[in-house]
Amino acid sequence: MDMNQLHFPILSLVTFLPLVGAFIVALINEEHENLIKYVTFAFLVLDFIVSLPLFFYFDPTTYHMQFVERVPWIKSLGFQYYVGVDGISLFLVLLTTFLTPLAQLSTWKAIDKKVKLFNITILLMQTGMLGVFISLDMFLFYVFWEVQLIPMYLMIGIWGGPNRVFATMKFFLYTFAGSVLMMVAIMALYFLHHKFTGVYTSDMVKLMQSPLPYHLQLWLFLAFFIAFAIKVPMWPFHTWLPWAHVEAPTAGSVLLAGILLKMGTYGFLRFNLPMFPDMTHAFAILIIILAVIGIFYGAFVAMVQPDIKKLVAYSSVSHLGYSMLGMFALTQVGVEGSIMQMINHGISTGALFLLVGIVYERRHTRLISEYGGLASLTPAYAAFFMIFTLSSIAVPGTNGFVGEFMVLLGAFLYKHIWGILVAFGGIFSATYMLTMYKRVFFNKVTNPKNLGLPDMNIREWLYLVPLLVFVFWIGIYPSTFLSKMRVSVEHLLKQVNRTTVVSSAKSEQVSMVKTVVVKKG
Amino acid sequence: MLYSTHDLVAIIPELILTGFAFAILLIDLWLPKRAKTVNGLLALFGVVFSFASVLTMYNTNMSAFNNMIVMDRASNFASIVMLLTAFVAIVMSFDFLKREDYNLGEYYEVLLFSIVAMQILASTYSLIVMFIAVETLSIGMYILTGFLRNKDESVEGAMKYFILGSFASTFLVLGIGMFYGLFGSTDLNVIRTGLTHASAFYKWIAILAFLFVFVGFGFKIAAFPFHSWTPDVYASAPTPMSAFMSVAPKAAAFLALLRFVAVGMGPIEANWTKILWVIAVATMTFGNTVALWQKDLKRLLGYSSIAHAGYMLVGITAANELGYGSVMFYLFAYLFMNLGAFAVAEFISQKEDRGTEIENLRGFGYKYPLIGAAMLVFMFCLAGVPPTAGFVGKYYLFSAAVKSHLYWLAVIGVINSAISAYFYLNIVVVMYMRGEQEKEVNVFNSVPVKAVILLTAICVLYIGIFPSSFLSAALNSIAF
Repeated sequence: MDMNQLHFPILSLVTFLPLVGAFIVALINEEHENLIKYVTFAFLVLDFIVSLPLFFYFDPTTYHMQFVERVPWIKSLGFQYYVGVDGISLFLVLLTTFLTPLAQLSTWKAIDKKVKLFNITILLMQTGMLGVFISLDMFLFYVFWEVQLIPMYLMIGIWGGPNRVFATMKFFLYTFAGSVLMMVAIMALYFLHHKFTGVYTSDMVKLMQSPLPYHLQLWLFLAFFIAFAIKVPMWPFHTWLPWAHVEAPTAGSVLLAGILLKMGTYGFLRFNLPMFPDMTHAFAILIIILAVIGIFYGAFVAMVQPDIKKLVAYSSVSHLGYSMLGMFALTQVGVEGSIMQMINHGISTGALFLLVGIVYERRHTRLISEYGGLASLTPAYAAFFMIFTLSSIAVPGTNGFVGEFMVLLGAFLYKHIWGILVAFGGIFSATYMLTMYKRVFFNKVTNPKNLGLPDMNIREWLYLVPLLVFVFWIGIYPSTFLSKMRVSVEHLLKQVNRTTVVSSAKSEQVSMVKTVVVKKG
Repeated sequence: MLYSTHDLVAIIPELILTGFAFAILLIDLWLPKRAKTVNGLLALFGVVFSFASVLTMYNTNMSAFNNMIVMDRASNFASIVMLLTAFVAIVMSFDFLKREDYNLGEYYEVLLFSIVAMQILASTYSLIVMFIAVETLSIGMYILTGFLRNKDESVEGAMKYFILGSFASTFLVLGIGMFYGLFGSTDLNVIRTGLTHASAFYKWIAILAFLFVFVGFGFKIAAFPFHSWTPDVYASAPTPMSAFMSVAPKAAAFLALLRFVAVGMGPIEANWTKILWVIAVATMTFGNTVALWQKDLKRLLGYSSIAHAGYMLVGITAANELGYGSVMFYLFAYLFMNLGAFAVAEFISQKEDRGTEIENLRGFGYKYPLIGAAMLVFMFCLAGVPPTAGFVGKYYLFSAAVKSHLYWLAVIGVINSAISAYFYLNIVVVMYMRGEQEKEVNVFNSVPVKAVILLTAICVLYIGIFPSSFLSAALNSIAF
């Protein structure tokens, strides 16, 4: 068993602590609802605390996997329990441990039935999500990838809105159909890798080191592409997303937008880019086109939404389009921007869903037309909403600006036209967010039902302030985060910019596969 | 002497079961009506002893009765699957037979005899022995299907099973006859040698004979288009027997089929893999598509078992050791998930073995949190979602197909998985997401049934998370 710099299985602890929590909560009698909430929250906070050493002990000078643990798992095929993080996955792990307790805190009032089951579900989901980001064995990765579908499926289906069953079935089947194709690709990768190197391995780090020859990359790339594109979701695979978001309970939306969608973008970074470098270059332009369509499509559709939550859901399509654009621009600043955009989207969209949840809890409606003039009634709420709105439309000084600016710069360096074109996308996102803000918060109070609306309570402050801190931290001093991902991204791009050439078409032996490292221009 | 004691060693597990079956036959005569459960306990002991003998002789490799019977790891692995299934089915039967007022010794005795036949089927390379075993086990199955003899559906199911089964057997025996005519033997090793040197014309006749034999096996494993009895029989047979039938005879028939294709038909592998490719695809797709419209849990499990037979055929079509081993592992995994799901069907069933409509599961997850959670596990397992045994099993089956470059077969297989997720998850929807049950539904409050449900659920998860040793055992069991 390999051990890491801490000589302690910290990643396993972080990942499975919530699972332990789920077992403990399962033992509590369901009548003690408050106890269940406190215990769950305590476990999630504890999980965040134990994940902090990952940040402080992370060595930013190496691209190698850190905090590695490796135990044989299924011996007959050589699958391992192999986990670790690098500068790319580190922040997604931390985002997960950071966001889930806040999401759970938002449910204390909102979830009033089957409280115990809900809290168990949220704990199980935490384990599933973390598992995806730390797995370095592709079989293990796939297991976690599918496992986390189950709690989300239950969360939307049990605690969701009126159309919850349709929404959750669509969510599950759509994602499942995409991921089973990825399963075949994982199997094929396993056997093809053996054919060319003589080694059976499901070790992702090894698979990244020796990509398959050009002609075999196409189908595998496409299978992974479909699975991840559905998850992101990229236009035109996004149709499950608005349904899932609108029907999901607030915490479900927060985790869906904040973390689950990042699995798609993360998957691209882990599989498609390093393992299929030739196809990455070949398909970059196509994916960029889809990403740009997504940016504009999401923004346009968001403009006409009467429902705040649906508006935020469509804005996700747009924001993740930026992330995909930055990634496939294949420049250092673009990929870093893409990762920043993932984190930022988790923070600002997560916060916006929480904010929508707050007002929904009080008024049981999310229609923009039902509101108006809330700024005078609930000033603190309006202020929070303003800040996260600005962060979502990427105003300088907020986190959104950093990510979006880097993505634009990356796209500009790739080809000027994309940078210029997409810069206009910012105008549209400002349009839909600010129009919505104006209609909800400004003018006079037109709807008498809103008159007695109470402002935010302490619990709500408690889960929004941490998010606020990061809006400005990332917005003002992003180096804290960027410095840790730089080396890993550099290494990733080195892998992407190496293209394989088969020198003799007759033979398919590994010795015939040459690796040509193309120097960056 | 024709037979020596050495020969008898190879059939010790079968002899033990036969002994217990005869014991039940005798003791049953003196048992008063209220003490009939003793029969069940005796049957249970028989299964346990037979199981123990299989375990102690697990690594034995011998042949007996002039090579008519073999005992190897494959036959022992299949025996383990069958005996575990029988054990669970007997436990599920205790309270069931009392409720139905059919607590008769014959039930257990016929069950034991049919397991003997299955064990024989799994441990022979001789086609004629296979035929006798198939016939013997089928007779047991016909009787058990119609065991609730005052229930019309049950009798109808048994008749349908019997008529179609006899029809399939005639094909089987015709195919065997053709092989005998071609190569002068019904031993698969001889047939293999004959086929290797056979002329093209003989090979074509052998392919025809292969098809006839496959009709017989296809009927037993419920492969399309020989599946039509499955839903009716599963829906109408006593629930513990539906559960038993969905696993044990299949385990035997799959191993026999494996021996038949891998050993006997080795020289014409290129031909039969093409035929099985088509049959595997048709079986999976048919089972999953028709299951989408089912309203009754037992009938749904019937169609789902057709689909699962299709998945296992994928492993055979792959025609490599990984594929054959995966079929064995899948049978082992399938045992727990399917028995668990049938036990839930029994749990919600009413007197006369009715009331297994899916609609009766409404709100079930809240009324019975543990059993509901177990059912949720079974459904995700049958759909092939991790961390369950069903996922690992499917992963290996499709892996084997990919290894043999049957990419489209694997893709069609996983798409089928996605289709099946719809109807399995629909049950979860009914249990958890459609509100509470309006009318009062009494459940079958039997402690053994509840124990079966919970234990199989734990097994399904355990095998799903720590599959390593089970997989190695299954992969190592195949040595032909």
